Amino acid sequence: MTALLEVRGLGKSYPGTVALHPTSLWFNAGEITGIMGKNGAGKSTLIRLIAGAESPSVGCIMVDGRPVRFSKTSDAAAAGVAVVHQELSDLPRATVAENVLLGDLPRRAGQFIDGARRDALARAALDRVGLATDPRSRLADLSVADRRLVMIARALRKDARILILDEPTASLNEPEIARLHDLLRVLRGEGRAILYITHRMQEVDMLCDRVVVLRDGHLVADGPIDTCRGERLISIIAGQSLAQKSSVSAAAPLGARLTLENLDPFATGEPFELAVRRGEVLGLTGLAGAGRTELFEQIMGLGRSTVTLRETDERIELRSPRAAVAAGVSIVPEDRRGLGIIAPFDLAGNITAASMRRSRLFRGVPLLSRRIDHRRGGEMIARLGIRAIGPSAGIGSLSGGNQQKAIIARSLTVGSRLLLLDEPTHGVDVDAKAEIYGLVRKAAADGVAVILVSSDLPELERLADRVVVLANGRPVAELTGPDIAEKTMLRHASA
Amino acid sequence: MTTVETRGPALAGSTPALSRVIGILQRYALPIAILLAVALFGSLRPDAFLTWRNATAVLTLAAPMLVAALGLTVVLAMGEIDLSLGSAIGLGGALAVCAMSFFGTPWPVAIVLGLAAGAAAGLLTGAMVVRLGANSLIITLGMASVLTGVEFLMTDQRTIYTGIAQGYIALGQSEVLGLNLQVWIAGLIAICVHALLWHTEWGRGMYAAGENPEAAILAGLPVSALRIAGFVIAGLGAAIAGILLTAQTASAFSNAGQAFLLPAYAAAFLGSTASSDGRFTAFGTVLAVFFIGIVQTGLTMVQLSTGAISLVQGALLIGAVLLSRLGRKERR
Repeated sequence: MTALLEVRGLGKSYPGTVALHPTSLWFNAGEITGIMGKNGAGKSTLIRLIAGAESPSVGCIMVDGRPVRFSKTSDAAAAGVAVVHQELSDLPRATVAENVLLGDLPRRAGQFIDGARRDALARAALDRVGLATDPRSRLADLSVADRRLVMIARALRKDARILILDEPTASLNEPEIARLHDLLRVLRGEGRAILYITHRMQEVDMLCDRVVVLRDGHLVADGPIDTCRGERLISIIAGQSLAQKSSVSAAAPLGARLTLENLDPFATGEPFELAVRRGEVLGLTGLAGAGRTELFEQIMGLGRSTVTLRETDERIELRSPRAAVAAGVSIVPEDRRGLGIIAPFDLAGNITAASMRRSRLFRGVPLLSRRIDHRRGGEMIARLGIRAIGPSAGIGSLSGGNQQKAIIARSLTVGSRLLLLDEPTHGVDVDAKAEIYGLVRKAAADGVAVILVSSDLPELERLADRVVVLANGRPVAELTGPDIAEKTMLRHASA
Repeated sequence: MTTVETRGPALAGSTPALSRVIGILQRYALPIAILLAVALFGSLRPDAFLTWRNATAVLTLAAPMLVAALGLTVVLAMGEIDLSLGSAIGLGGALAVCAMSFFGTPWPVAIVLGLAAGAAAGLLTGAMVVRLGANSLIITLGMASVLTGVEFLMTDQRTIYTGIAQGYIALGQSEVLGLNLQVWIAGLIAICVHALLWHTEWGRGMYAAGENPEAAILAGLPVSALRIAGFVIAGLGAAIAGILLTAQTASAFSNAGQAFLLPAYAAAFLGSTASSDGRFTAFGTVLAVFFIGIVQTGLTMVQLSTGAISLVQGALLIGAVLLSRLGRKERR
């Protein structure tokens, strides 16, 4: 039997990195394949190549035994490949019917939309996924689970024989997950090949016939689910971690305890507390959608309820980012380009952006001295080893790792009491990573309390003194010492 | 096992020399355009165009426009839009003139009243945009109509030229060190706006708010207050422009400010091409106002018809912007 979809030696490289080493895989009709791996393992790259969103550097794709070339996503769609993305890629303001029939609305008398046929076609497509919603209702009024079903309905209407679902159960509850799985089993029975990307062991166990594991861009396991489950699967995903924790973790004496009260990232009305001591690096991890970023936003005063910072007798309400910065709380946001760098400023200006007051020409007058600004920027550039031509370098001309160091420098100039780092080494190369680890350790040694959000588990193994695992916006486990291991963290996060 | 080869980004197919020329053209498009305009009109009408008299006349005419465009530059730097600029110019000038003409208010008080009206309009706009999260485009479109309405209610759409104090008129018609006083005022304001945007915490915050509001907020900058302040500055700039304009003509005629709205935008956007990253700067706006003023005067001197002037002016504006875009595309 020929496989419905085959990838042969398929690989993708970008300048400087290899996202996916040449990989060969078969996907059969009537089979659900779980695709697993940590963030950055190469899952998304594989999917993007199969979906035609990117062209492979090497290798080829075969559908029904015939080689195909996808130079754009519509080529893949024409060959019967449909992707339901993790982020909803739909039109929330349009109706359900318009979303299902997007790009393929029935017309009559030229360009006029045939409303009756549109609704009938949409109705039929929705029935296939077991969704009883009125096709004329607005998509934004549907739950996330239903919106995913609408996306699947769209894929089925285009008669997708190869259906790829990327983390389809993120932010779904148990009954919704069960309903989705029932649907997928029906679709399997119809002879479709289903590629199911997930982080959750349990789902793979319940649903999939076969599991494929990627790690660091390599295919590391491919076999029937019976041969590969539980602890064994976790070990395969985690791999051997080479990094030695002792290499960066310094046994600095811990200082005063900071307590963050009234944390409630998802506004559930049941707040909790987190404590972190000066000199300590507290790691926070959890699956996508576990509320890590929302938690940081709340601490910075952007949440619905206000967090209180307590240190010995001092209580500070973190009402706004201004109040947080004034209290010595600063953040290095996750999306560096979107949230961190301020392009019109030079490097020094980016470093001093949160502490411009100290670059004043005269006390009490908000006139800036370029000289002082550049001197202060230069000090941080030297201290953090930022590679740039000087304080006046354009921030955009720096490498990702050095931009990240500049944003960390900005946080440190605030005279931080509490430093929040959100995925600080996301998208930076290995050397810059090691330097950033050094910086974080040094900041802690200087008496700063650090909270580090990371989905890079080896990074937490290496850097964190203590790890709190989040799920659904709440802490579910606290790990210290030898328990800070990839396997343990994965088990708690995917439970 | 085969290794995947790593490829660098594709190089754009142009020689280094050519791309350097394009780089220079793009970077200095505006100064080059000014030189070309001066050379062109100078060679067409050397006796009339290349004179000190004409130079001062160009500067004097450009002064109110410059002040209005500078205020607008601040708003644009913050990534906002102010369409009520023209109406604020009209209201600021008309209010000062009406106060003197109807009530015999002393001229310094009349000026303060005009400025206060502009600032108040800016404050109101800013509060609505920032506190209530409304879109500045539509709010200022509404404010434009409101402010023009206030002006018309006050003046009954008549031109007012009686009872204007001599001191007020002197603002627009006296000379200091060989240049009209207005030129000095506009120059001073240009320096102030430049200092504000480049050398103060506020200016940095304004650019940051325009470029990357999330980053600015997370860095603890007072983004809301700065946004409101930006609209107040634009309102003040418009009111000053209105006062200079009415002083220059010694009269307040109906809806005088509207004619300034689009040229002010043209100047600010054209000026933004003078910086390498397309940023709105005081310096760029000054250059652009000069360019527009020179072209306007020159075209009038070579005695083209009104239609031809409008056509050539538009074409030059588009040409200058396109010149600055040269070579941008291939960098993407």
